[in-house]
Amino acid sequence: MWLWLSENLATLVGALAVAAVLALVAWKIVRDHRRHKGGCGGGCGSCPNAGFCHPDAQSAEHR
Amino acid sequence: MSITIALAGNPNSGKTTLFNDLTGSSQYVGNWPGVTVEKKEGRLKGHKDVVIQDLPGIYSLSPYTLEEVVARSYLVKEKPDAILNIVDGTNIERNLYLTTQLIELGIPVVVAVNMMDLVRKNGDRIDTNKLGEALGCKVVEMSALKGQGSLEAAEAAIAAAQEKKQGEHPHVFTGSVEHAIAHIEESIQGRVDAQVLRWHAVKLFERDEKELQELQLAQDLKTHIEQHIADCEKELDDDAESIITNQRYAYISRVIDRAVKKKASRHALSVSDKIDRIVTNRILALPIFVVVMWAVYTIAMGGTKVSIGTMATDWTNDVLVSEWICGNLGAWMEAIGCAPWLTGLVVDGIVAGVGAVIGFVPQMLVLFFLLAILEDVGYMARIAFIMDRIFRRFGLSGKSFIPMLVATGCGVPGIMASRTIENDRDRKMTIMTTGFIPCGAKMPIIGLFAGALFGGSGWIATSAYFIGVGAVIVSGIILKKTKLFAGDPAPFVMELPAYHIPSAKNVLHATWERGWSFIKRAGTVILASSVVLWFLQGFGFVDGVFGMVEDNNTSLLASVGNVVAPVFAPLGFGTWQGAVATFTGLIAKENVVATFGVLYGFAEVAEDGAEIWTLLAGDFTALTAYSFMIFNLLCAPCFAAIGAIKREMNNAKWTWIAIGYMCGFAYVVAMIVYQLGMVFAGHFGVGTVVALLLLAGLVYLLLRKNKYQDSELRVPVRSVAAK
Ligand SMILES: Nc1nc2c(ncn2[C@@H]2O[C@H](COP(=O)(O)OP(=O)(O)O)[C@@H](O)[C@H]2O)c(=O)[nH]1
Ligand SMILES: [Mg+2]
Repeated sequence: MWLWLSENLATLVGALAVAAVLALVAWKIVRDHRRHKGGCGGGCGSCPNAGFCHPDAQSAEHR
Repeated sequence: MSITIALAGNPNSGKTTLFNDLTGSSQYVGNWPGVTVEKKEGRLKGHKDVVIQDLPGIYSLSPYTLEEVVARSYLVKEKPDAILNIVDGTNIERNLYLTTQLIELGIPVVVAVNMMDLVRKNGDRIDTNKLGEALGCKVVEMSALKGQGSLEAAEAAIAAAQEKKQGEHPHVFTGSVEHAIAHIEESIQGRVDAQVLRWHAVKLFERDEKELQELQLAQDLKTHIEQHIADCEKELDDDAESIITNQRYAYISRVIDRAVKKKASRHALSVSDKIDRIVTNRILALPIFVVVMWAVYTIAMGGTKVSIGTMATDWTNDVLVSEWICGNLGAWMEAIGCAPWLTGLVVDGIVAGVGAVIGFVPQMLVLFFLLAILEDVGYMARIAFIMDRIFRRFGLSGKSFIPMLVATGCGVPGIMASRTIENDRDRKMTIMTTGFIPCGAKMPIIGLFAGALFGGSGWIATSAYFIGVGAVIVSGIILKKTKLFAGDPAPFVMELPAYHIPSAKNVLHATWERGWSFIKRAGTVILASSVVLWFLQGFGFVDGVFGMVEDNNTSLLASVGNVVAPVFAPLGFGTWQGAVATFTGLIAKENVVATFGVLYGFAEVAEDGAEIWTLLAGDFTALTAYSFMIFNLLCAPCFAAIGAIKREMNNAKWTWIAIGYMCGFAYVVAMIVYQLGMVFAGHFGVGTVVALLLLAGLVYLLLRKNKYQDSELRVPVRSVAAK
């Protein structure tokens, strides 16, 4: 058991790290989707119609 | 108590620049009119109780365009506490037209004469005191771009709001008109607020349709009012609306005579005018446009000595991603004893996919930077003007081209910008064709093929851009001749802003926003789909047993891809990789490149230090690559853009028509290019015949007579290149 663990330690740690990154990415994608954000490739700050996507995030304090 | 100050003014007078300066936000400062119809709200820096409202740019308060309707209904119905009227000092006559209407609204008005830096440079003098006396309101000077006088202007507006004092109405109209207006005021007294009495009376005098609808006057009252209008019209021998317009202009020119001293004589041409003589010249305009875009794409994505973008991209690809990350990361993971599958996932999946896309970031940044400069300088507004001239001949409005200028960054805001088009058919058509313009995310596809197969020629990207523009024009003409889209062009007022030195802040901001969101997407959506793809291309059935495969041609993904691939065979890229990439491109267009990175083992090849895309180049010829590129540029856009199409169409049927049209058009064009290209290579077959028939069909649709157009094209009255 210990032997197996020590032999595969690098793989285990690596796999965990990759899984963590993927979980983070998935969480971010879902969150952006929920907030209707990141749909377009232009970036919203420079978008002339940003107000349509984020009508509430308009006032200066939110930025 | 909170105070609301509305910023009103002509398009391009600097409202948004002022808004950003006052509120500290970073709204988009476009240098062309009519991209936005929304109103934006922000709070004045340091004054939490003062709300600043940015309105769309308008020339008047008549309800001809959507912008005017939005601004007018806000001013009349929601009644801000004060109006800060931004006036472009270099164009004061035309700008004051709106001012004469705003002061009738019964809301305190402060006029801020903007662009004073330019006015002074021209050697002109504006006497704000005299101007203020004549208009009956406070007039201040400012230069929003330089941040001079902005705060003072806002403070003057706050003071005016607190005083609640509205100026005396200046005598804009002549005796008989004022007489009629006074009678109208009398008859509608009590029906509207005393403050706005004059505004409503003038509008009724003009027989403004919206006004008549809203006031719902009784029939006898209407007849009574009509009598006064008719009397006045008879006396002045003109129709009521023109009387008002003409007298407003006459009034303005009296005011100008008193308060403004111009150095240059009226007829002298400014530098901008001189440049425009060449740049918007009937014959030279298009060649110049081509050369300008070619220069932009050569610097950003070409393979010459000045191609900064390509040099940086080559370095990221060859050194940063291949040598440093792929080479070392793989070796290191093996050394510490990671299982081969994990190393594969990280190096051949994540790094290969994300790295392939990230490599193009420098090219994109340079491209966006140059496009932002072209826009800010004022050149892009000329393009819309040139396109209007071409479009108008076919019964289309140049207003359809503004969304396409926006779409060079991203299709989603481009599609949304189509809202400014009032005419429903033209708007639908614009939504359908805006996606043809190569957006930022399509650039890596172009860059990839230009680099791998065309020796980095700047012409590949230039041609891709003009294929997009051409697709828009051709589609516009074809569709306009069908029953679904026939009709007169919408009126489009295109005013050309004077050329000016680009503002570093605007340009860098736009570049950064776009570049950063591209990088963010690479780290999320592209990363996730690279991992999924790596699994799909790494597993399959070998001798009836499911497991990891050595050669991804035997993978599950390959067998699925091979089912679809024949559909694309007539276009020349009937490989499973091409088919898969076309579909993954729907998630985001740059995913096409990430997909190739994973499928062609971007990382593995790179380790040997070989040209990274040689394997890819082996599967494509120049012709099939070009055909693949065309198809992927023109076919259905990414899901985000499809979502935008769905929202704007607000109708499932029309969404499908749009997507179907785009895919069909892409297929036909790619097929014509591929099959006819093959003729040069000596191939002639069934495909050639089909392609020729398709080409003939396309030409017929383009040239056939338009049944739905009146024999005489009615050209709208207000198409001007002002200045
Ligand atoms: N020279 C000069 N240019 C200005 C000034 N204010 C704005 N601009 C430029 O005018 C253009 C239009 O500005 P924008 O704020 O988008 O106008 P809007 O259409 O009224 O919102 C931009 O290119 C600005 O950089 C100014 O005070 N001086
Ligand atoms: Mg604006």
